[in-house]
Amino acid sequence: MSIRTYIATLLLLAVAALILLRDGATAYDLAGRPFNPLTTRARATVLLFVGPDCPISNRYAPEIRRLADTYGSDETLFYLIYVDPNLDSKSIQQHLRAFSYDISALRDPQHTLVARAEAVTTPQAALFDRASALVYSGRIDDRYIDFGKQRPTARTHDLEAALQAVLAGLAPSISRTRSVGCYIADLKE
Amino acid sequence: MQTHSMRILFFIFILALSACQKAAQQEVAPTFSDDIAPIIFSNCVPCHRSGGPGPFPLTTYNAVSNRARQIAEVTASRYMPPWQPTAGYGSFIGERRLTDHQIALIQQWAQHNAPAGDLTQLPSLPQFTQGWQLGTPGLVVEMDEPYILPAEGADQFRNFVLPIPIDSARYIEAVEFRTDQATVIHHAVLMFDRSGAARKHDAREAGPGFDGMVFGEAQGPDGHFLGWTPGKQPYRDPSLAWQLAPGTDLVVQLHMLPSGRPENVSVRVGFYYAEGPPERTPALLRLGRKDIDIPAGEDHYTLRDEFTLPVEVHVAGIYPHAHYLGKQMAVYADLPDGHREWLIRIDEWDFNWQDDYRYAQPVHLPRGAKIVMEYAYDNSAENPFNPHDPPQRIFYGLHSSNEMGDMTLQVVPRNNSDLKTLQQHYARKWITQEIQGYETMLLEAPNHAEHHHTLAMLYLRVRQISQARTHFEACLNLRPDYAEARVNYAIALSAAGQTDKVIEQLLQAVAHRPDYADAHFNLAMALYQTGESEAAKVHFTSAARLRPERAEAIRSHMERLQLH
Repeated sequence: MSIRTYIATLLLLAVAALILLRDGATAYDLAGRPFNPLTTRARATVLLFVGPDCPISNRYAPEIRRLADTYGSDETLFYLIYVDPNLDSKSIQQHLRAFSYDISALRDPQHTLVARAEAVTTPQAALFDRASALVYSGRIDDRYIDFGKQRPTARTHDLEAALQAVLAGLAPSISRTRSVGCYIADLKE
Repeated sequence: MQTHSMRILFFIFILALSACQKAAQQEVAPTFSDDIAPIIFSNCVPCHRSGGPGPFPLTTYNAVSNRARQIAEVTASRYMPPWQPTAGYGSFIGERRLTDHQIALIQQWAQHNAPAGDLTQLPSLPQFTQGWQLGTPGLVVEMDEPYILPAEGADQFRNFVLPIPIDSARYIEAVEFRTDQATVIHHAVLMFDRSGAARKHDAREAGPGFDGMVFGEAQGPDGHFLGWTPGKQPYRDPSLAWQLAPGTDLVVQLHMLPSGRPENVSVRVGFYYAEGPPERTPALLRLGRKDIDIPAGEDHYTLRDEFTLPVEVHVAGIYPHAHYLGKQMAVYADLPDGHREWLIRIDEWDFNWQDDYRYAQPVHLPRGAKIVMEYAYDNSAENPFNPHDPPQRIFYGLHSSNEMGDMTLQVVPRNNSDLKTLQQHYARKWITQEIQGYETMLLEAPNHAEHHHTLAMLYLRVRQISQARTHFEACLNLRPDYAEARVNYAIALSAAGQTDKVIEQLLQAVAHRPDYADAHFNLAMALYQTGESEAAKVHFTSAARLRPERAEAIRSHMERLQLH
């Protein structure tokens, strides 16, 4: 092995390690298999962080379903991310049924996806592009201003706007917004 | 050299100091077992427990520590526990308020990562009565089928009509409201309807109940307001019992918030019978205005009303009311001796947590006390609750998209003679205000036939006949088939001695609504007075046929008039 090949191999390995580190975000599907939703190389990947005992998170179920119905495809993937480490697959399945979700659900007990998506609360949305770069993280829309303070209807649909930008090959005009809901960091095993 | 060693000494001192501070901080870091559980268990758990109206339980260390930051935030902003009145402006039963010290402890605890402490030393959880809080009610009415609240959408206001199956009048000393869906019900108001209008309204809409914030004919029981909010404890007061008559329908208005999935909502109401009539009869004093006219974008519109008491009273409760533009409320009484007695102050009104409040001790107000209410409204785009985007000019109305400014006091006069004096004085104030209110509402809706009719009737009561005529005519031009208005117009014309026009109005009323018994009866009377006995007989007979329960009375009336 020439020194050049050696260096090239090392570099490659380093890049691979970096990618792995960056996208080593491991979650689990409901059968308990590790699954990283950020390795699919889809055009757009939407992670929706939810909590079954968070009222604001639940109130967004119809809006989340609407977005998934409207935009979901082989190239635009939607995942519900359950962040409470104490929640088992059975409870998640019950929650999916109760709120009529037809979206792939993942568990993120170590909060690796939470960290990768810069998620702070449930509900919160994170949008990744084909290169798995986080292009939007924040609220779904601006209906909630604070705990107990909500508008009759949303004025801005932030996630939808970001998604439309990415699908048009553009960068979202707003990449970060503050979400209102239940704090993920409080959740412990 | 000396300076150098001084520096070292100083450095060591600083190090020691910071170490001490750290140790001290660790020492004072509150723990769940010692500091936080007592606060949470007595202030939050009454609602946040399994089966309680709170959306999640806070009964264990894990449940509470998993929401530490959220709890720190909502207690610091005083969003929780939900209690709107400002401390020091009236003292109420069931106050839910944390002290500044308690709030600070929760902050520190959350900042220190929610330490558990010794969980074997936890205080015991409070015990709660299951089922009816006041014991088994004498009568329970409930919805026969649940209402399905849709998964999404804006807040819903819906009225459910529940017949009350009693054969004779009963006195009621307490009412308890129960639901298993307290997490989606923000607020309930209980009203009573003896006219049958609510029942008819209910029949017109599919599914249980009918939409809207308008009750129609339904009213609170005499001298009482009956509201429910999650966590509110029912109370029993035999001294102020009220009468429930047979044939009354209970109308329960629910303010509901969709939860994200369809919810089956049902409610039960328990009535507790009193042994006999009350010692004293309370009265409701409603201050407020209907001449509300808030410009679009106005962020501080003020509304003021006042009433001077003609007799001394004790104030038992208060029900302040505004909708989504309401911002601040202040209600006080200026006493003849110059002292100001505060009745309530709310610095950050939140319609979603509206409630009625009972005083810990009834507030004595002497004769001559001037009761004042001052409300402020925010109709700017900055108000997140603003139902209009962009903001619009807003008038009075019962819908959540309109605005209201009411404040109702439950007052107990010393005796029935005082009650009468109070009612007379209050009626004068009320009618003046109503006239101003409807005049303003007609600015918004000049073609509102019902408003013209109401205003005509109000002018009639204060004997301003020409204004009354103007509004009757405006009303009937807009809605020629408005038979009730025609009958009332005919009565007004008759009082003014214009008999010829009376018959014309009544003929039109029965032409538009042939099944309107009262119109036939009044027409018969008018025809008889002009000597048209045969025609009078026809309409008396129609009235008797349409109102079988009054047929006997009508027939004996005809006999007296010698119409056979």
